[in-house]
Amino acid sequence: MCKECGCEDKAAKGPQQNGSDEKNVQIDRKVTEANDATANKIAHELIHKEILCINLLGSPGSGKTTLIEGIAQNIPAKIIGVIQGDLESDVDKKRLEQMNIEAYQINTHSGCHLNAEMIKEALGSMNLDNKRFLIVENVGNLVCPAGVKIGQHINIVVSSTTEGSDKPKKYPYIFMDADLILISKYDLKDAVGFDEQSYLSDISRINPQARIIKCSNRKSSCFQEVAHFLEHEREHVLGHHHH
Amino acid sequence: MHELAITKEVIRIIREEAEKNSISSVKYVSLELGGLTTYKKESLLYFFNILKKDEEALQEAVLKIIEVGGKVRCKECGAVGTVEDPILPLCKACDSSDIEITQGKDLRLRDLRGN
Ligand SMILES: Nc1nc2c(ncn2[C@@H]2O[C@H](COP(=O)(O)OP(=O)(O)OP(=O)(O)O)[C@@H](O)[C@H]2O)c(=O)[nH]1
Ligand SMILES: [Mg+2]
Ligand SMILES: [Zn+2]
Ligand SMILES: [Zn+2]
Repeated sequence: MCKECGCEDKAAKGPQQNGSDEKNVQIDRKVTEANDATANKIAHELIHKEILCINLLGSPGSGKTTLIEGIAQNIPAKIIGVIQGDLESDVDKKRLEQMNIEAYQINTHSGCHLNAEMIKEALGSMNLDNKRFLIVENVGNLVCPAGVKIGQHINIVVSSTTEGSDKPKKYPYIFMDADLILISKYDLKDAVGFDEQSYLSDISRINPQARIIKCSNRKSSCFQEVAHFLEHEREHVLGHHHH
Repeated sequence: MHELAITKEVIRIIREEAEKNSISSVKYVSLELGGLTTYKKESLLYFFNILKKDEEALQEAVLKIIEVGGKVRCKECGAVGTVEDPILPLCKACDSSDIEITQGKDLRLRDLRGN
């Protein structure tokens, strides 16, 4: 019976119960549970190895690999491990190897983002002894990697001025979970008419907690700032943090 | 496109639950879709209806998607409110922009019926 008026309201009960042998099972399962469980396990194991895992996100060509190169000028390359996620090719891996950064390439082919299972497999063939940072460069994409856990402790979104200042408004999900937003190609902001005020005001409405660093590869001080941020986050995540 | 992988997970969990509960023909499944996820209802239904054809137990399955809105809480004063999209509103009570999302970021499988 319907609670409102006491009538026999079949529609209120959902679909018709046709057979008496029909079972009705109440479930409450998160659809991403399998991936999340693998991701949580990875994140936990990396903490035990005292490694901070960074999910590096951003559009194709926004400057993700450039950022890794910049970080490696401020943090010794030998304590950084990288997992490169690309649809095809290993050009970024080779670029990093030229700077003596160990990199493992994942080619997702048609896959538009990395998932925890892929990272688990990659970690199986990486030597992380003496590493303190694991940087995962995700597939260049502002949509699909958003919210997909890969075992990271923090998210960095690299967002270049050349993409336009409307990106947070158009792709809020990727910005929503960022711990650090790097505004890259800051040297080009005037040339492309980047509206910084409107960009920052959108960020403050999507993710007011995010740290923001403005960055240009022509000026290395921002990479130093990122390196400090990472060292600080690592201490924080490992629980040795003292204010 | 983006919903294909997640719909495969939906099917995997339904298959698991159907087996666990000795259901050989699923008639109805409900899915709770958070309003602050990147998934679109139409695409989930589209992929579900394609993928179910390859699943013996899902031939007659109807998927119902229940959309649940986003909920937010003000970190300054604790006031709660609803939100339609990830562009967070200012707190209606104290005007603060320091707001956290408390509901709407999940996709959850809820009810399963069949025999
Ligand atoms: N002017 C300028 N160019 C930059 C800056 N950062 C990166 N670039 C250039 O932008 C291009 C793309 O940079 P990458 O670091 O390869 O970008 P990515 O995000 O790794 O690209 P994908 O891996 O292909 O998605 C390169 O030609 C860089 O030299 C910057 O701060 N200023
Ligand atoms: Mg790259
Ligand atoms: Zn996708
Ligand atoms: Zn408030």
